[in-house]
Amino acid sequence: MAPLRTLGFASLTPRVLEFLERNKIVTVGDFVSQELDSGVEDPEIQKFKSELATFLEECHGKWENGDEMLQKNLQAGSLSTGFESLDSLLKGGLKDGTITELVGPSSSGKTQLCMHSAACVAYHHKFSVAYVDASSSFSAERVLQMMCGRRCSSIAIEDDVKEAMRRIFCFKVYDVHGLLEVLHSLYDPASSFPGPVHLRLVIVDCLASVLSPILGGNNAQGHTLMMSVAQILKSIAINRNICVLITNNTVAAEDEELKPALGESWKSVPHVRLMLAKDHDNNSCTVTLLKHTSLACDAEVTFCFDRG
Amino acid sequence: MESVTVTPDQVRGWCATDETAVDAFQGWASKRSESRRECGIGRAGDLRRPPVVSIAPPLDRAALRPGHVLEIAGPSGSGKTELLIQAAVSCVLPASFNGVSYGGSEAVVLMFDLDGRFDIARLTSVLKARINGKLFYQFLREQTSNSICLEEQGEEVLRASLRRFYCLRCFKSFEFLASLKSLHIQSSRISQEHHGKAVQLVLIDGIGSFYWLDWMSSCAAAYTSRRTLGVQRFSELIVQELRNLRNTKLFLVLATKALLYAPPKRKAIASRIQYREYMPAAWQRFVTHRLFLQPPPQAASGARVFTAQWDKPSLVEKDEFFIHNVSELALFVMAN
Repeated sequence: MAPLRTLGFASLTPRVLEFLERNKIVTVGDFVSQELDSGVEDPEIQKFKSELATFLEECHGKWENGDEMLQKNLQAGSLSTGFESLDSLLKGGLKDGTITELVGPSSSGKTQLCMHSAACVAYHHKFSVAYVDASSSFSAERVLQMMCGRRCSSIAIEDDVKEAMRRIFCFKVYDVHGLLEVLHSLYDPASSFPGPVHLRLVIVDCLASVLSPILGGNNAQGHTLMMSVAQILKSIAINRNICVLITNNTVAAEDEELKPALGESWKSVPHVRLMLAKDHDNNSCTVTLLKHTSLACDAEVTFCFDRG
Repeated sequence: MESVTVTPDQVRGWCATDETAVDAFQGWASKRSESRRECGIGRAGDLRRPPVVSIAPPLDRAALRPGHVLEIAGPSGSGKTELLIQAAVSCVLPASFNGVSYGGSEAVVLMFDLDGRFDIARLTSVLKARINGKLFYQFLREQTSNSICLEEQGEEVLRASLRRFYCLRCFKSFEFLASLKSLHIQSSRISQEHHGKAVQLVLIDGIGSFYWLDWMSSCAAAYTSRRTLGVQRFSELIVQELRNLRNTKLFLVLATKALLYAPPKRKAIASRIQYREYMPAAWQRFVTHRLFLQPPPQAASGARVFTAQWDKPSLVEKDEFFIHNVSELALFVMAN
């Protein structure tokens, strides 16, 4: 953190500087983490405190009024997943600034749904998609098939389909540190990583495959790394107004039911939680709404994936 | 609370003096210190207790007053944020407007969203349902009222109530602490915007959200030369800042706490709900009331019933409630 002296405060007079030195306050962090009881009556110090308070407010976000928040919420867009029934279940689709989690046992259609959403956003909405592939399951041919449908042939691909395919950026990660690096570069587009323009959707598939191996054991290091991933995902969603779609596995619960992996602490991270179940007989996928910040839960819809 | 040192001579003098009730009361009033003002928990003879805050059930079982701190703990999906929203709605609604009584406190609510998941749509739908219910009752009573002007009135009350609600999102403990500090320094600004109406309710959603991140920084403190704050120190500073804010005007604090460790399934059948505590001692001492919530059982068919049990003050009976959504109407009904 930079020392207070260098931040250019107008009210930083020599007397105030002397007071700060006496209390061993050098940076903003020191000011926040100490209790200053002495020097309360001095008007110069009071003026400096209010200037610093305004500065802190500007850095860490202003208080938002309920009315302003509602206007912003009404204007917020949502991205279609490509399935009308799922969009109507979610009352519009994937909302900006939220984290949606897909939970399901293996081969229940999570990756298919992720690729379908990526295809729909890139082709119909014409926005960029960042697909972080942690389980090596991304298939460009399948995404192409989803975009074109049956009329696609391998020889002649139309220009708008090519353009849409160029909007999907795939990042391969193999461990949690690689994942954190990619997510940090997505959050801060000014970094050296070639960031996509008009990024509206970030998909991470599958989060459990990089986080489950580090959880457990005697030390809590795994938990702290998991919560760092949660913090950066929340920052990406809320500060940059992006939809985040993540997938998670299931583990067996005590009463032989399935519960989402990654434990109790992870439950407070996603805004929306969807449980997927595949019916292999008629190739349909059932999605149940497990958790939502403003809708009633336990509703479910069923749809089929186009096998092409 | 600070301890007051008293000499034996003072005690003898106090016991020996004969004084009237008037003198005694004036003596209390003059010697009243900051610590007594903070402790809103009633003591016999303390005639200046702030009034009980009118709040939705099941929170009204313990008489909560400004100065109290209630911690609502429970696993994910047990209705914690919903209780905060119901309390906020009771606080921001006006007492009455244009002849219609809404039964609110017309006071300012500050919400610290540490979880990052607060949805204004839910608060708006609960507010609308409450307002529409009162307007409908008014419409039934006075058949001459025009339904369109009632709708406009409802819209006006909704927007005025939302303007009394302030929300701030924090992603780190440092941001939370910095916001509390700058709020303390600029506390006159918000009350000026609302013509002197002070803050009555402070909501903190997810007090344990930064536990693992602060734990990591306290581990890393051994390797860096910079002074880094860990879980304990952050908690002490946050409690200190909340106490400083209360010095200007008392308010009620409602904080939700998510669990970090899965609750043991067997013990849920037992008479008392118990969860593993992980917050530091400074926060635990600050909390004056505690409520445990349990989500409805997964295999339940029909209405999903949530359970609430008071841990502090320790009550044996459990309250059951369900959250009802009827199109635009969101009712909060006590089933027990």
